[in-house]
Amino acid sequence: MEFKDYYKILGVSDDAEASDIKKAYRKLARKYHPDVSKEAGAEARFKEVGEAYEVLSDPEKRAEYDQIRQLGARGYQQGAAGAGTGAGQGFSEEDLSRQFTDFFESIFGGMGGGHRQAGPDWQQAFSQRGQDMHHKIALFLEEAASGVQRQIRLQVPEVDAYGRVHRRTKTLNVKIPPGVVAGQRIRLAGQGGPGVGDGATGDLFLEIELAPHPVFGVDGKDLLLTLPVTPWEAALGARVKAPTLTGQVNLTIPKGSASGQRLRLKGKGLGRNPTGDLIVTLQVTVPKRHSDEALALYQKLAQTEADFDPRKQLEARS
Amino acid sequence: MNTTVTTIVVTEHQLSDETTVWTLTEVCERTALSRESVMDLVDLGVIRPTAESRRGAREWTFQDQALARLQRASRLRRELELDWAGVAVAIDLMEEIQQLRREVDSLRKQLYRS
Repeated sequence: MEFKDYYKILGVSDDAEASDIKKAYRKLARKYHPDVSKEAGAEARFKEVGEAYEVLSDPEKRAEYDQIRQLGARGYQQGAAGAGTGAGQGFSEEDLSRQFTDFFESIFGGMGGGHRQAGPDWQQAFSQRGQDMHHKIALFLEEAASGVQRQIRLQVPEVDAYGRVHRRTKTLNVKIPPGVVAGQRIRLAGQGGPGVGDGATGDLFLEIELAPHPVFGVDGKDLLLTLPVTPWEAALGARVKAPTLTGQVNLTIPKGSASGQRLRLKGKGLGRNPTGDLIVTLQVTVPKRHSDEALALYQKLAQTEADFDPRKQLEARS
Repeated sequence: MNTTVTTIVVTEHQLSDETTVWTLTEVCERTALSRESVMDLVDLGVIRPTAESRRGAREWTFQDQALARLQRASRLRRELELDWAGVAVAIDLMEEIQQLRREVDSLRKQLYRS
């Protein structure tokens, strides 16, 4: 197990005043808060900072930690190397700052965060609801549209006969029906943390994320597609093939379409009740190189349409 | 190590926004917030009780989205040591940023199609 230097993590000296520790924590918490920071690794840093503050802001824990730091730091480095941190996935998302590493728990025991909990202290209460847990699942659009089965692994806390908290890995096979959208929460009742005493088991909330798709964009329940068309298809109208999540469809490009024009394919989007649409935006595209013959035709077109000035509006305003 | 695998089938009904409704007591229990705090957040416009419960004399109820917001609010207050007004502003701004990001993403997708 790796020794954690909480002073270093907060960037304070080991004789720092409580007020400096608080200041350092606030600054770092703001910087790395997963709701605020998009930096890679912010979440891990935030957890670390939370853990460091948990210890250093509590005079008793700090004193205990200081002792270990002086005496035993070496032992930790030599001990179970590669044991990893306990910051596994599947923990309750809103309690990031209370997810402690094995290092922390080896010193302060499993319920380290107890005093920061706003609810009643579990030791005094006869019963308390188990913790709700949160887990994010990333799906491809195709999976969201047609349903999918996913295996998820969670770390659930478990209280033993001595009141100590251990973590257990729980595996769930979840069958997700078609029609989920980004940000959707699915509540799995009774799949969260265990209750204490007569307290009910907490729930597990799955939150759906959608992976970026190479072809389709997403706007709520609607899918977005930019469809390239040729100038002659736009001018003359055409019947072209367009991709949808469930295969190709024939799409009629109306005569006289312009770039940026939108066509709506009802019910070809995501979600249910009602299912969203596929919004196709036309993009008039020209070949990189034209044949001499094609250029001649364009020349002729230019002469025939000499009256058309798409920039008339701009001139009038400048 | 326990290796049992439980299979859970989520029904389409569970995907509906209206399926999960929480009472005031339940949201307090699940967020470890006091009733007063939840009421403060209703006053600040962070969450809204369901229309039926606002009309009726019964206990307030909330849709699941409100619970998700309360969980976030509670987390921000604790972890960033904000007051409720600060939490309300932070949540509004975060949602606006999220919305703008989505728009930028979809516009980019339409502009620079490879």
